[in-house]
Amino acid sequence: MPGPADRIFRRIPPLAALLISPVLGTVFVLGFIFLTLAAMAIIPVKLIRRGRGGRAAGLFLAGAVLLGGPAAWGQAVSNEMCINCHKLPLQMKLKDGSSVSLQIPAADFGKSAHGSLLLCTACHTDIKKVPHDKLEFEDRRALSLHYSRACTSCHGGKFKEFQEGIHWRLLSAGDRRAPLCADCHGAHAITKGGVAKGFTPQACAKCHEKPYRQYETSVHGRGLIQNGAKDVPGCSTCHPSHTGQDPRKMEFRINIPQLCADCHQNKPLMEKYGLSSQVVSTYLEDFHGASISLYREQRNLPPRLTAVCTDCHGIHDILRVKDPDSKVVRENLMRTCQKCHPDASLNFPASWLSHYPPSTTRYPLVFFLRLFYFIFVPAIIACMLFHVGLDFAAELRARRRSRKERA
Amino acid sequence: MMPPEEKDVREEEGSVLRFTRRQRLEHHIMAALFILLTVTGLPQKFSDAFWAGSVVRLIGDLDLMRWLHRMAGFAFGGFTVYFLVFASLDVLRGRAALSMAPFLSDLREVYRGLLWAAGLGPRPAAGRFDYREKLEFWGMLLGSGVMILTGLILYFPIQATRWLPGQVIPVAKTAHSYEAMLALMVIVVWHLYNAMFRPGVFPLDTTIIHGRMSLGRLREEHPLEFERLFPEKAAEEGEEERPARGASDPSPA
Repeated sequence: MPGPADRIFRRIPPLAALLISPVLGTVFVLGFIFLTLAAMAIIPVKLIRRGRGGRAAGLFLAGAVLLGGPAAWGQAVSNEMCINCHKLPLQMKLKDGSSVSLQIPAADFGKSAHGSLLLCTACHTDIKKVPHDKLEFEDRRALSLHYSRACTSCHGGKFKEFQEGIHWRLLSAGDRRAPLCADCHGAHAITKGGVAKGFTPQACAKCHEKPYRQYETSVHGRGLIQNGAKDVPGCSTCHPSHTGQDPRKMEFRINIPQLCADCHQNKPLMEKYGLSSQVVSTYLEDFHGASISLYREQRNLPPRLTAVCTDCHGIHDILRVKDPDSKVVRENLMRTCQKCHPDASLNFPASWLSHYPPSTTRYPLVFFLRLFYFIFVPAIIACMLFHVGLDFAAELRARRRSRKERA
Repeated sequence: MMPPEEKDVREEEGSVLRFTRRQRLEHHIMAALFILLTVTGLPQKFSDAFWAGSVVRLIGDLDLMRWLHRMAGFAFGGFTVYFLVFASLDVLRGRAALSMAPFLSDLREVYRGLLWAAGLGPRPAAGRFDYREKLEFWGMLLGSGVMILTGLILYFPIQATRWLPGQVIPVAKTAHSYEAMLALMVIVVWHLYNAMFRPGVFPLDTTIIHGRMSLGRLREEHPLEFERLFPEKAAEEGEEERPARGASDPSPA
C-alpha cells in the first residue's frame, strides 16, 4: 500500500521528490515533536499528574511521532535507485524452473502514464530498502497476481466495476487465466488514456482466439483492424471491459438491441457508412422487437427470447448485408429463419419486412392496407360520433317534451 | 317473409321477452372474451407505450399474456362458429325470425334516424331491431371474421406461408391490429353509448341482464314490433295516441 507520501509525490517528478523528501520529512517530524511538547506544556500539570492515562497518552504520542515518523519516511526508495539495477539484464528464477526478465527499459516506465507520477514502490510495496531481499514466486502468473493488487489502491472505482464482471468471478473462483489489469493495460508501459489503447481486440485475442478470428473478417473487424476506423466497435464496445457480463446470460441478450442501437440509430454515423438509421425502429415495430420491448418490462427475465439482432446477423462474424456469405442476404435468409422456425418454407422469409418501412414499392399490400385503415377507421368513428352527438341532444329534447306533456 | 317470433309476454308485468337466457349468456361470454382479448392484445400493439409494461407485470409475463390472448382468441373463434351454426339452425327450423337481417330499407332508416336526431322529422318506426343494432351486429360479425382469420394466420405463420406468399404475415398483422382498434372504438363509441349512456337507458340498459323490455319502451323504440305482437292494442291506441305522438314531434310524419 502506498503511504500518504506517495500520494503527494505522485504529482512531483521523481528526482525532485528524491531531493525534497528528507527535508520535508525532517521538517514534519520536528514540527510534530514541537507541537507535542507544546501541548504537554499547555495542559495543566495537575491534570497530567492526576491521571496516569493522560501522561501515558502524551508519551505514547510523542514516541510514536519520534519513532514512527522517520520509519515511515525512511522508505523513500527512489525510482533512480531501482533503475540503477533494473536497467541491467537481470533474470529471476521462478520455482517452476522458468525465469523472468527483471530488466525494465527506463523509457518504458518513463514514458508511461505513471512514469512522471508514481514511485516504483507505489506498486512494488514489498520493496522497502535498496538492495532489497530476494523475492520468490511459484511461476510467472503468481508474480502477476501478486502485483495486480497494487492497481486497486488508486483505481478503486474501476476495481469495483471489475468486481461485477465475469473476469473477476473467474479470478476469485481460482481461474488464473482470467485477465488482470496488467494483461490488458500493460504493466510498466501503460499508455496515457490507456484504457482505449490497451483494449485492442488483439489483447482479448490472447484468450478469446476463436471469436477474434471471426471478428477479424467481420465488417466491424475489417473496419477497425484493416482500415483503422475509430468509430467501429471493438471488443469492449459490446463487452463492457470492466463490468463485462457473461454474454450468454439473459441479462446481456435482452439488451442487445439497445447495444446495437447505440451506433445504428446514430444518423450522422450511419450516413457516413451509407447505412440506414431506421433498422432499430423498424425492428421494434415488428413482432420480434415488440416482444423484446415487453420482455424487458416483465418482472422476471424470460427463459427464452425472440430473435435479437445477433440471432440473424451473427455475432462476431457480422458481414455486410449484401455480402454473398451474409446470413441475412436473401439467398441465406431461409436457413437463418430455420434456426428458430425449423419448418420455415421458402415463402417464410418474405414475412419479415427486412427493416424497411412499407411503401408503394416495398410491401405494397401492407402499405395500402395501412392507408385504407388510416382513412376507414377515423371516418367510421367520426360518423358514429356525429350520430351519437345528434342522438344525445334529440333524446334529451324528447324526454323534456314528454315530461312537459305529463305535467 | 318473417316467421313469427316466439311470443313471451307477461302482461301483468307489462314487459316482453327480448333476449332468451341463451342469448343473454352468449352476450356475456362474448363481452368477457372481448375484454380479455383487449387487455392482452393492446399492450402487444402499443409495446413501447408507458403503460404496456404495467399490464404485462399485472398479468405476470409476456408468454402468459400471449397464451391467454391466443386461448381467448380460439374461444372467441369457436364461439362465433357455434353462434353462426345455432342461429342458422334456429332460423331454418322456424324458431327465430330473420329480425337481424339487413334490408335496403335500413339505409332509409339511417337517413330518417339522422333527420329525427337533427330535430327535422319523426322518430323512425323500427321493427324488432333498429338500424343501430343491425349495424353493430353485422359490424361485429364481419370484424370477428377478419380478426379470427388474421389471428389464425399470425398464430400459424409457418403453415400459412406454405401456401401463401410471405407478405400475408405482415398484412395479417396490420389488419389484425387496425381491425382491433376499430372494434374497440366502435364498442366504446357506439355500443357503450347505446347500451349505457343514452339518456333513455342511463346508467345501463338492463334488457341484457334480465332479458325483458317494458311495453312502453317497446312501443316507443320498436313500434313495428309492438304492432306485430299486440295488433289489437296497437289498433285501439293508435286511434288516440298516434296523433298525440305526431304532434309532439316538430314536423309530422
